[in-house]
Amino acid sequence: MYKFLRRLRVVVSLLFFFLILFCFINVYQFAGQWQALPLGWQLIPAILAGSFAVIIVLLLLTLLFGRIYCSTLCPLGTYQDIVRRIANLFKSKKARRLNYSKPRNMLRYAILIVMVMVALLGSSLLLLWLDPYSNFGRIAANLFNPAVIFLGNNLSYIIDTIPAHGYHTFTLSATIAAMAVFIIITVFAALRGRLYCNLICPVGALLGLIAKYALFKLQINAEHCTRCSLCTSQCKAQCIDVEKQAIDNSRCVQCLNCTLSCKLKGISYKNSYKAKQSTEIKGVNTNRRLFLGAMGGIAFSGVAHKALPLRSVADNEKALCPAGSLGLEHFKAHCTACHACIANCPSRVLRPAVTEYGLDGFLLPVLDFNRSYCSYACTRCSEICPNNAIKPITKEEKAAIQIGKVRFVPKRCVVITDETDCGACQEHCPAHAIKMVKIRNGLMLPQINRELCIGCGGCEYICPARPKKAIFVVANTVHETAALYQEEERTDIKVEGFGF
Amino acid sequence: MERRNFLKTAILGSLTAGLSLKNNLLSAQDKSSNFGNEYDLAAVMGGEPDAMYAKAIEALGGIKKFVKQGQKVVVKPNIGWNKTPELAANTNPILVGAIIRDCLKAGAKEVVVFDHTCNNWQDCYKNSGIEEAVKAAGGKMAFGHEEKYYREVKIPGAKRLNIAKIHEAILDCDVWINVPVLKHHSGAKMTIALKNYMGIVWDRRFFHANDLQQCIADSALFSKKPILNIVDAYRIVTANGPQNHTLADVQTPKALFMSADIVAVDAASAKFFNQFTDISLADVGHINIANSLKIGTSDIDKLRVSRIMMN
Repeated sequence: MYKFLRRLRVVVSLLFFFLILFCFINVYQFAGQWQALPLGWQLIPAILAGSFAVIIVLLLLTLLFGRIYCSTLCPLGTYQDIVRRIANLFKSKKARRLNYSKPRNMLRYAILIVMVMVALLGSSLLLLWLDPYSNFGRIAANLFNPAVIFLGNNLSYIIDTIPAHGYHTFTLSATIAAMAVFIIITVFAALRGRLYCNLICPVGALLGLIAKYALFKLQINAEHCTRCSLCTSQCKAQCIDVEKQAIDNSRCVQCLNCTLSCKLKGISYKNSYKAKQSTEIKGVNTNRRLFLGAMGGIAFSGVAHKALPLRSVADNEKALCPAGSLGLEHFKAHCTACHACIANCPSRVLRPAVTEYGLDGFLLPVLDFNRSYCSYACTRCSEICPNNAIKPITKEEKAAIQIGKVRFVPKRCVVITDETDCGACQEHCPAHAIKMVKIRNGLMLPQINRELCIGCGGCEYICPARPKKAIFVVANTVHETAALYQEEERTDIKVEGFGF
Repeated sequence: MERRNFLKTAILGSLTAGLSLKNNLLSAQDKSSNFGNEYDLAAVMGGEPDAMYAKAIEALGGIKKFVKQGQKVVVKPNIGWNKTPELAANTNPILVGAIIRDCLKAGAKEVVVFDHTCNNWQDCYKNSGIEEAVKAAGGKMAFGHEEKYYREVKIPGAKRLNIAKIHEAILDCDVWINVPVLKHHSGAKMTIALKNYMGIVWDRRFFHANDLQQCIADSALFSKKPILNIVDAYRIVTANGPQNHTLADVQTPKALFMSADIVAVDAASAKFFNQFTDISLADVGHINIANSLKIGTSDIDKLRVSRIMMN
C-alpha cells in the first residue's frame, strides 16, 4: 500500500510541478485560461486571494495526514526533490545518507510570525521573499523563461513557424535575485534535502504547526524497530530520531520514503489520538521565547515599515501597476511577485520593478512604456494572477480603468521642435484621449483629454521625441474610472463618381 | 533540279514561311492586346472586393503580366491594428484572399503575407481576418514583430531615410504587391500606398522623428518597387484615423484603385477620399514629395484611366 501511495505522491507532485512550470515558460502561449488552475492551489496565493474553499481543503488535508501539501502541490518542494534525486546520482552510497537533525523551531516560527505581522501591516515584502511558490515562479520566469526563448529563437532559424522573441522582460536585478535564491535552494537541496522547508519556509512552518495535531501520523513501531537508521538515512526532512524512535511530524513532508526503506515494516500511519504519543519529540520549550521574539518582531516590523524609506517617492510617477490591481495599496498588500503575469503578458510591457514602487515593491510587476504598451483588449495578467493582486476583469471593465493619466509637454513635441507632421501618439491611443488640432502651416498638434485616458502607454511608447518624451503617463496611486468616449452618429455619404 | 529536291525545298520553305508568319502573328497579337487594354490606372466602384479586384486586374492586362511562373510573391496589406474588418482599420481580408488566389493561379511559387503591426501582432493577424483569409487562399503568413526579420538596406536618393531595415520577405521575394486600405490619418493626413511602406520597415519611430512626410516618400525610393499597388476602398475610415474606434468614422463606398504607379494610385485615392472628408491633394505632403522625386506622377489626367462602375 505504501508503495502505491508513494508512487501516487510522485505522480501528483510531478503533475503539479510541470503544470505550474508550464505557466511560466509558456512563451508561445499555447493554452488558455485553464493554465492558471494549479496556481490557485498554492497556499499563500489562496490566502491572499481569499479562496476559502482551497484554504479549508488544504487545512483538512493537513489535519488528516500532515504536510502532504509540501510533497505534492508545492512546486519548490518538488524542485528540491528533483535536485536531490539528480545530486544523488553523483554521490557515493555513503554520501547519500542523511542524519537526523534537531528542529530549529525558534527560527522557523519567528520567521513565520514576523512575516504574518508584516503582511497584516499591509505589505507583502516578506511573503515575497519567503513564499515557496513565489520564489519558484520568479526562478522559472526569470531564468527558465529566457532559456526557452533562447532555445526557440535558435530553432526559429530552422523551423519558420516558430516566432522569434526579444528578451523584453529581462531585468538585471530581478535575474540576480532569482539566481541567488535558485543557487541557495539548489545547494540546500543537494546537500541537506528539505532544509529550506524546515528552516525558512513559512508555509512549511505553518503547516508544521497544524501537522502536530494531524489525525494520522507516521509512527515508528517500537516492537519492530531495531534502530538500524535506514529510515533516517533516507529522510530528506531529517526528522526521524531513531534513538527516541520518534518522527517529528511538524517537519515531516509525507514523502513516504521511510515506509519503504524499512525492511521490517516498522513505519506506518497510526491514528495519533488512539495511540499513545509517548514518542513525540519534545524540543526545547520554546513558547515563552517565541512569544517574546514574536513581539519583538512585530515591534520591529511596525517601526521598520513606518520609519525606513520603504516607500520611496523618487519614481512614484512611474509606479504603474496593471489594471485590476486597484492601486498601489491593494497591489503591495497582495502581490508576492511570482511573475506569472510577467511571463504571460503578450505585449511584454510588464517587467519586475526596481525602484518604481519603493523598496517594499522591489520585484513587483510594473508597466514599462519604454519597452511596450498595454494592449487595450487584453486581460491576460488578471486571468493568471493567483493572488487576486490583479483582480479578474473583463475587457469592458478594463476599458474604463484608468491606471494613470497622460501628460503632454508641447515644447518637446517634434511638431513644435522640427515643424514636421507626427501624430504617432494619436495613432496609438485606443481611448480617443488624443486629438490632433490644427496649429499653423497645416501642422497638427496633439491635444489631450485626461478624462478619457486609461494610461495604457501607447502614446508614451511610440513618442519619437528625445531625450525626453513629449507625451507620457503619470501613475494613479489609486486607479480611477476613465470617462467613456461618446460615439457620434454616422451619416452615410453616397458618392456618384470617383472624384477625378 | 530533281522533283524530290524541289518538293523538299518547297515544303521547307512553306514551313519556314508559316512559322515566321505565325511568329509575326503572335507578336502582333501580343502588341495589339497590350495596345487595346493598356491602362495605367484602374478605378472600380460598386462591387464586392474580390469582384472589383478581378475587373481592375483585367483592365491592367491580367495578373500574368505582373506575376510570372515560379515567382515568389509577397502581398503586403495593412494589418496594423487589432480591429475587425468592419472598422476598416486594416485591409479587407476578402481582397487579400482574392489577390493570393490570382497569384497562385498565375503560377506563383508561394505567396507570403506580413505586416509590421502597431498593436500586438497575434491579435492583429487574427482579428483582422487576414490570417484566416491568407491560409484559406493558400498563402503563408510571415512574422514581422522582431528586428530579427529585418535587414539593413541603403536607399539611394533619399533625403532623410538613407538607411532602413526592411523586412526579409520583401528583400527575398521576386515581386511584391502593395495592398493598403484607404484611411484618414491624423499624423500623415492620409494613409494609402506610400504610407503602407512603413509596415515593411523596422524602425517606424525614425520616420516620426525625422520629418514623417519626407521619410514616407524616401522609403518609396527603395530599389525594389511593388509591381502593383491595390488600394482597398471597400470600407474607408473618414475621420479619427488611422486607428478609428467606432463605426461612426467608417463609410462603405465599395471602391478599389489599382496601378503600378504608386503616386498615381495615391493621388487618385486622395481625390476620391476628398469627396468624404475635406483634404486636398496639396495637403498630403508625402504624395507631393514622391511626385517631385519622380517615384511616379500625381497628375492623373496624363494617365490612361479605366473607370469601371459595377452596379
